[in-house]
Amino acid sequence: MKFFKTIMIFAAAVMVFGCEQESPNEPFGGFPIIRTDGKILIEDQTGKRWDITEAVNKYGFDPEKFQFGVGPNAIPPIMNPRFYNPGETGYPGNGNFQVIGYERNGETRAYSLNKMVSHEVANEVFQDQQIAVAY
Amino acid sequence: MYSRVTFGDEITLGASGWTYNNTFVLYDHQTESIWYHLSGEDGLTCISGFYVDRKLAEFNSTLTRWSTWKNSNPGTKFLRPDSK
Repeated sequence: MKFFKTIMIFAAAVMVFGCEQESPNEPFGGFPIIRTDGKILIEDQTGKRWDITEAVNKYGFDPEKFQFGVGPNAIPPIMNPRFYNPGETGYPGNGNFQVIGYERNGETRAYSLNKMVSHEVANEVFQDQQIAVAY
Repeated sequence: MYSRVTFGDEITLGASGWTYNNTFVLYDHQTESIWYHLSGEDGLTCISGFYVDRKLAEFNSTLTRWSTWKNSNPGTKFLRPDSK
C-alpha cells in the first residue's frame, strides 16, 4: 500500500517538475524551512507555507523528511462523490480490480483504488455519518 | 475510513501534497491543520495547527477485489468514476 502510494505521488511530483525545470527543490527533501516567531514553516513547490511547529516540537517530526511538496491542488480530493446502484448503466460487472469496501448498518459502498489514487481522499456523508475515505 | 467530525466540528480533508515516511500527510480545508496516521495508532491525529492533538476516529473498511466484494454484498453501490 505505502509503496504504491509513493509511486503515485512520485508520478505527480514528476509532472510538476516537468513544468518547472528551474525548481531548486528536490522531491526528497531540501525544501525551505522557515523558523520565525517560534513557528516552524515548510515551503512546498508551489510556494505555499505549512505550519509544522507542533509536528516538529511535539510529535518529533523531522522537517527534512517531508517529501514531494507538490501542493494541495496536485491531488484534488473528491468533494461530491456520486454512486452507481446495482443494475444502473455504468455499474461494473465482475472484475478483479481492487476496491475499498465499507459497510454501515447493512448498506455497502465500494471505491476503486484506481479512482482513489488520483484523489487520495473522498469526503462524503454516509447515512448520518460524515466520513472521509482515504487511501 | 475516517470520521470528519472532531468534537462537533465537521471538516473536509485533502492531500497536502506532502508525504512523510511514505505516508500521505492530509490537511483540513477549514483550518489547514495537518492530519497524519501515526504508526501504531488508530485514526488520524492532528499533528500541527488549530486542531493539534485532536483525533479523527477510524472505521473499519476492507481492501479486496471488486468481484469478491460484489458477491458478498449484492446491493453495494459503486463510486462513479466521474465523481469530483
